[in-house]
Amino acid sequence: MQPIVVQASYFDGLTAKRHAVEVIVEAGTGVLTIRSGAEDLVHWPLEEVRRLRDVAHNEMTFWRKGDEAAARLLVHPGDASKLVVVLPNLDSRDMTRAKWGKIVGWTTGALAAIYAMVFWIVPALAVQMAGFIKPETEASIGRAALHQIEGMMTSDSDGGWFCDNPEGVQALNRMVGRVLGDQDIGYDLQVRAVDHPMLNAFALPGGQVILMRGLIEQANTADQVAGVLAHEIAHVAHRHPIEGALRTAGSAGIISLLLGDASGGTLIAFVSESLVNASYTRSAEEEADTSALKYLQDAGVSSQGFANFFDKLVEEYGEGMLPAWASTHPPSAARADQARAQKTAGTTPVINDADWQALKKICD
Amino acid sequence: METPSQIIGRYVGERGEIFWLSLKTSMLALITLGVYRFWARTRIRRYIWSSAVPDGDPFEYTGNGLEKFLGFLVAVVVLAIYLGITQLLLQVFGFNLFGTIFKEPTNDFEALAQVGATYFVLIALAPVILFAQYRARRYMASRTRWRGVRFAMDKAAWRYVLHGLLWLLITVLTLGIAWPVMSYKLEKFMTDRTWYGQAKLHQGGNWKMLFGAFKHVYFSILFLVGGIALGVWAEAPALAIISIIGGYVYMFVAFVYYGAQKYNRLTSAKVLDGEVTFTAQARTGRIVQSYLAFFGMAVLALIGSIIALYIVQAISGFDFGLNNQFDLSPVAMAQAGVAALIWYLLLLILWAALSVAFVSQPVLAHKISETTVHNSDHLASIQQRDKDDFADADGFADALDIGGAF
Repeated sequence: MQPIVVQASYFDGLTAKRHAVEVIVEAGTGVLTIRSGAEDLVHWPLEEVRRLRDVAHNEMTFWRKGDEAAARLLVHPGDASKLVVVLPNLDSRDMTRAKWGKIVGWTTGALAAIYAMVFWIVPALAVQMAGFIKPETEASIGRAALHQIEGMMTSDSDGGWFCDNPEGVQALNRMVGRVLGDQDIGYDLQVRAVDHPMLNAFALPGGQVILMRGLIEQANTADQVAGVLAHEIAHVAHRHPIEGALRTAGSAGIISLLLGDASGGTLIAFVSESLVNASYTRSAEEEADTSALKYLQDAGVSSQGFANFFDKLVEEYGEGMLPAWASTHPPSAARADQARAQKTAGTTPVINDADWQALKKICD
Repeated sequence: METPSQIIGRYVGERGEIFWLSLKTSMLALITLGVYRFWARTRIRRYIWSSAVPDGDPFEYTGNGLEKFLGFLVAVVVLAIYLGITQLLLQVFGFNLFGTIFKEPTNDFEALAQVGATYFVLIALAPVILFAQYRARRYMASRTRWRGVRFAMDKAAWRYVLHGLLWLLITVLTLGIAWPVMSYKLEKFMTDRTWYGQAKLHQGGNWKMLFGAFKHVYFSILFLVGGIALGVWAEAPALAIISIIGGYVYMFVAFVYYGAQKYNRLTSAKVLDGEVTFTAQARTGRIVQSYLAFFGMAVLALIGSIIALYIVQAISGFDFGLNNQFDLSPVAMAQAGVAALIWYLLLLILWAALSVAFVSQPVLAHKISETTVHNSDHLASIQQRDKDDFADADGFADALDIGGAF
């Protein structure tokens, strides 16, 4: 068989000088010889020759596997096609088991570190740091947040949505007094009703609790409202609102910054942020439920109303399409059962019937 | 007498090839939920680097996807710890600072200022972004070769952070007037620490040299602000609207002009090994043309993708809600949501590929073709240097998404 001989440019990896060379492959030797004039510069074993991929130029660039000096052989396309046929491992990726081990090991380590950060360190730090926020600051954060919520839910944010029917407000205050008893929850509690048809209630930083008109209207008894109120007061007592704000500041950034890009990463970032949030919120809700039942018991108010309220939620919205681990709230039917299990002997309605009628008209 | 040697830059990459490479690798990244993006970016860089062939000898990008992926993981862990803690502390600080300034928001401005306090946390990002910029450039230099000889940069990321923070502060305090000085200083910092083999690169020129390049940006801001002020003062809304539209167009061209002039001036003041010099003559008009072509293609892609949606709906009978007779059941809503998301992601990928093929590559090609290397014979005497390994690759830049076009 005739030896293959082609002209090429050779860079020896020692200087930026271009050498005009002859490349020779003789049958049976198993090596590629790079020759300048009469001198053989190097011999490359054929099975160790690789080529560069994804290149734009027409020439083919060859290199030798494991060559630290980084020599390069640049061959014209026509000549390169003659060489290609005798080079068996041109496109070999040289993936070793060690490389796979590295990938798996580092990925696992990184995921574990992020998990610890998002689920343990940031929440623990949020609890600690919440103590450094002055009460008056927390109150003004809560007011600013409420201001924003009003702007989002109504056309205005001028505070015009607060319900101020005097008899209704009195009735509401009596209900709060009964549920709270003489417990110290660490805040000056401020409970208000707002004129909005949604069946909802929420707690804000600084000890504010908001009941929405839809909730009061759709409740069958005052005890149902009292159950929800106890639940929101429990959120306040556990400092959930301010801790939640700090925790989100710590963890939301991590996830979106590190996973967000213009392709599939956006999807994972969105899903994982929702899941992280759901898991925190769910445990906070469970904590608030437990405390709420205790408040009701101490106040001598039946938790039957609270249970019925959850039944109402199931009736209104169903159990939701999400499985329990992905949902922000524990399943409502289970919460109803938990509330129903509490003894009702010796309890009285949270407020009298006249007050209940007044409360229903608080937004008129 | 011997004529001085010179090399005129040449770029051989083709639009169609980079477009398909970008589209193909982005699709793989989408299918692998983003994991493939490190390999995707490496392949794009290999193509772009190998397209630059001064004197017939191609540049080579030697980075690999694996080291980029591992570098990203390292950066993710470091950033998670750093950002988690600093963002939380700054949030507390921001709350306490702004919460006491504004007791109760009495108007929209104060409410806005309180929202601003929550963005205070972004301050923590400035040093990491500077760090990431330097590390990413050092990584790319160390993975670049020409005629087999490696480029490199010194280890100076932390000093770059201090330098950058100082100049950022000066730029903010001068309301942006010092921007071109900052650009020059930061570029000089990086260039003076860059090597080709054993040969050191030097950035000549002085801090005033980019003011001329930046002039149209100043003028466009004056035009915009002045026009609006005049329109308001003369109670002529038409004048204000014309100023806004004209001002933004002017500002866009002004930034392109700045980009081209900055490249020309800085490149022409660079010296390699005290012997090799450069000249560059990139033209604003050519770069603006590239952007216009891209905008046109992006709009066509959007229209085309909407037509495609109608065709798919007609063929498959699946309701995307395009006919205004939308079925409001949760299952139908969820299906339409998923379909919309897929459509959106595919459109993003298409736009990204168009942007590389119509802007990033042509602009780079133009700059390279308009660059001349003088006394190029000296290059042959430059010696190789050792490999520069580092664990984080350009992972910080990847994690913070500040990698730039390539």
